[in-house]
Amino acid sequence: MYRSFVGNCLIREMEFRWHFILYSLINLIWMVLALVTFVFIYGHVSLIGSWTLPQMLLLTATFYFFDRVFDTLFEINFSRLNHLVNQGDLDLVLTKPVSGQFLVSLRYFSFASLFGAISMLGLIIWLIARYFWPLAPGELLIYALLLCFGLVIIYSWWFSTLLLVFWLGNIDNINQLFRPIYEVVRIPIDITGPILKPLLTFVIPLAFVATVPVQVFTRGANYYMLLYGLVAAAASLWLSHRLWRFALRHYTSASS
Amino acid sequence: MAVIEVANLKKYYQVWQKEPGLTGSIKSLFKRKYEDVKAVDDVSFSIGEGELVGFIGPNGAGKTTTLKVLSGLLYPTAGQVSVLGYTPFDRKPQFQKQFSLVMGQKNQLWWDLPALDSFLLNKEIYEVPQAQFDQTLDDLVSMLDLKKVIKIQVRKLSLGQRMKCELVAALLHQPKVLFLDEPTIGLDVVMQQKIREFIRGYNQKYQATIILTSHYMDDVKELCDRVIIIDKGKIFFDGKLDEIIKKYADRKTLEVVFDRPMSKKDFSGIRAAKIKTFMPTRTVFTVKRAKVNAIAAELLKSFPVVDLNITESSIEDIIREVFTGRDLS
Amino acid sequence: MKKYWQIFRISWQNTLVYRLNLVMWRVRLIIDFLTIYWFWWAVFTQYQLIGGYSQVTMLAYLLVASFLRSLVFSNSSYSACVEIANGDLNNYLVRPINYFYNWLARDWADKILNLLFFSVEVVLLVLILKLPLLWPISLGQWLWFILIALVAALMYFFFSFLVSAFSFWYPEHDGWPLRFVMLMFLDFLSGMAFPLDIFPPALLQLFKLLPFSYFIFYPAQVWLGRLSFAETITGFIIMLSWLGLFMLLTKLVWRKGLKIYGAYGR
Repeated sequence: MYRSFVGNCLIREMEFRWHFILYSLINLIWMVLALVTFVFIYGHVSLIGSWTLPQMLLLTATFYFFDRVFDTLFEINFSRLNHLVNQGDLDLVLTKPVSGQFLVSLRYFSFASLFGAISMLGLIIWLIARYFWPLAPGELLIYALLLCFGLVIIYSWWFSTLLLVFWLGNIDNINQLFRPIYEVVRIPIDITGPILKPLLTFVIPLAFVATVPVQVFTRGANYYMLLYGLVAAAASLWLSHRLWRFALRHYTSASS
Repeated sequence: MAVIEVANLKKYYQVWQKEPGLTGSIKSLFKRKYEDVKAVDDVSFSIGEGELVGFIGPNGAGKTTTLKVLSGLLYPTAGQVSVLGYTPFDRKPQFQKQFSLVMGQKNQLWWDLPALDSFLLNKEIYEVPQAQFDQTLDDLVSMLDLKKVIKIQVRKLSLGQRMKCELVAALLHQPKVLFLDEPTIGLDVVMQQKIREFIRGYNQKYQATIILTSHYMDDVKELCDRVIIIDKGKIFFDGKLDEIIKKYADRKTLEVVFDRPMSKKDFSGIRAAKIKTFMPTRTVFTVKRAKVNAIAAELLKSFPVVDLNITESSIEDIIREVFTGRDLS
Repeated sequence: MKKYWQIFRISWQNTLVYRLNLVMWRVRLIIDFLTIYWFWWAVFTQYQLIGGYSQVTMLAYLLVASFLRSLVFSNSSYSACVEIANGDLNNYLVRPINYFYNWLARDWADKILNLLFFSVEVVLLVLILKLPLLWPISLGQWLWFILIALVAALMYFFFSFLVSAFSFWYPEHDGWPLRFVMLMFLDFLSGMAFPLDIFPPALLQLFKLLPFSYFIFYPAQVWLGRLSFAETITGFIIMLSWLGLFMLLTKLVWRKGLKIYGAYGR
């Protein structure tokens, strides 16, 4: 069923073809400029914290890759939730036999960001091949797994903040509420100090977006973190689902 | 001297044809095929002080374009336009302080603030003295029954209340000329009536010159002595409303629903009714005004009628008749 | 001029209706600042001097850049994009009101509101993070800074109008492509997130010819007293030239844009 969603979206986005190409291009240039800036900064230093230039580039590329993938999957859906809840269209979604949360979160696929995701993936592969080869067995897999955990974690937290629309009414930009918090992980979390580092790694485990996966290559695979990632992802998702049901109860009782 | 003088006004747009798809977009960057759209094509008229004139015509006829030229939003491709002695497109402040444009589908009120705030803003923009402002506001608010409404956020008002507030905002500076573009669009029947009454009242009380565009025949019937019919950018009629109705709209439409399928033959006995559209259970006739009640009675008596509706000929019908020159008798 | 004061007030009230958006915007700016702060703080744990900046000067740079962001940049200036694209511009064209002064009033309502927030934030940040405060020593330097900062704000005013005016020609999606590209240049070349001195001297010279560095980087340098008299004057001349160019272009673009608008309407 997800495949048919994707198909539908491709047709829609092809109508905005110019828009799509232009957006992808400008976005790509933006990301490249950010990476290039690091190159210039490392013209003055050789280490930031414990991070060398290739490591910092890999971190940044990982973050952007994550960001583009996240946008592809969720950007449109998140911005629609406000509309769904406040125009009463949510009822239509809830009557379908599939999980409401699934429908609301994954209905629309944004092709505009896909191009950026693929470009960043290319860069990641190049960086790993050039600077981090040879890898110990399984490191790549663990990196990928940690990214997936990060995806679930960010999704769960971000989605949970969106649920505020059920109580606060029509808020135009509610899907941007979480963004600044999430964007902190652009930088290596281990340089953010003694309070924030554990906070962002264990309590609100945003570090699984970029820092923890890249640390697999810089420090070696840490199976405890892998396990914690799995637990955190499952817990976050479960929590978001409980909050979703709670919000729905409030919604149905309010509208009847 | 007439308040509004328009001579040989032409307004043409150049649009280019774009082929669909990506190759079309690229092609359009290099070579464009331009086409002239004649929104207004040699229109002339003149309107005196205190007149309430209706511009009617189907969608895309050129009514809104003409109003936009009269307000100075668009410049003419050719022709002369003069309103209150000014050339609108010069946009002189002295001119702008004396007229108002209200477009049914567009807002000038600040959406998230109470209408009163927008009124106060207009007061400053038009430099209306405090005493005059207070007086006019009171007048308008009581004429439109808005006392409780003006302090509520505009976004929370119904469409009808919003339209009323738009009118107030437009009239606070007591303009001598008022352009109303589709003022009753989207409103329910009751509200349409109220707005019409207000416009008529305002015209009589303040002797403002008003041009009203609409594609609702009823708007024009209720308000305007004089109508100008526009279609495809040309004027087809400029004169008293009675004349049109007498001349062109002397038929009414009778829509009848039957409880079993009929055939055209069944109606052949009724001479005065002409069939406009036919479906086995639902038929639309056009009947001369004078005879409509008699025909309706006969239909009810002789046929298994479930529902019967008498309406005015639509504007589209009238205009179609006007162009094809067909006499409806 | 009472009308523009009224626009200022109504703009102010309107922004306050969108309180949550304003707060979210400020939170975003604070987190942005913190992110960059932690980054540079980590850099300076191992190095004393980078591109001529010590830790203290770098952090002071970031702080004044933050201030300049609220003073020079503004969000409301892009609302013109939307107004031109969807035809709300009509409301201004039929009334005896000057679109530019209207816009200036709205711009400053936005800026002052943001500066008020900033003044509270900066006190909190300085206290909690124990940020070093550096400020100009002489009265002359203060005056220079204020003058240059205001010119930068004026420059941005015309610049953002020119970007918005793209809507006259490309009303789809409110003329976003040009805006997007310009925001990208601002991100990297204005000195918003890092001083432009990290770029090699050849590039820096090039960037100093572009208008972007005069929004944040150049005024910040004046604040920190890092420019010689000659450099200050040269910078000021380049800045004024760009301002002049923007003003001229604005006049031309506005006239041409209105002609197009008056040809097609919306």
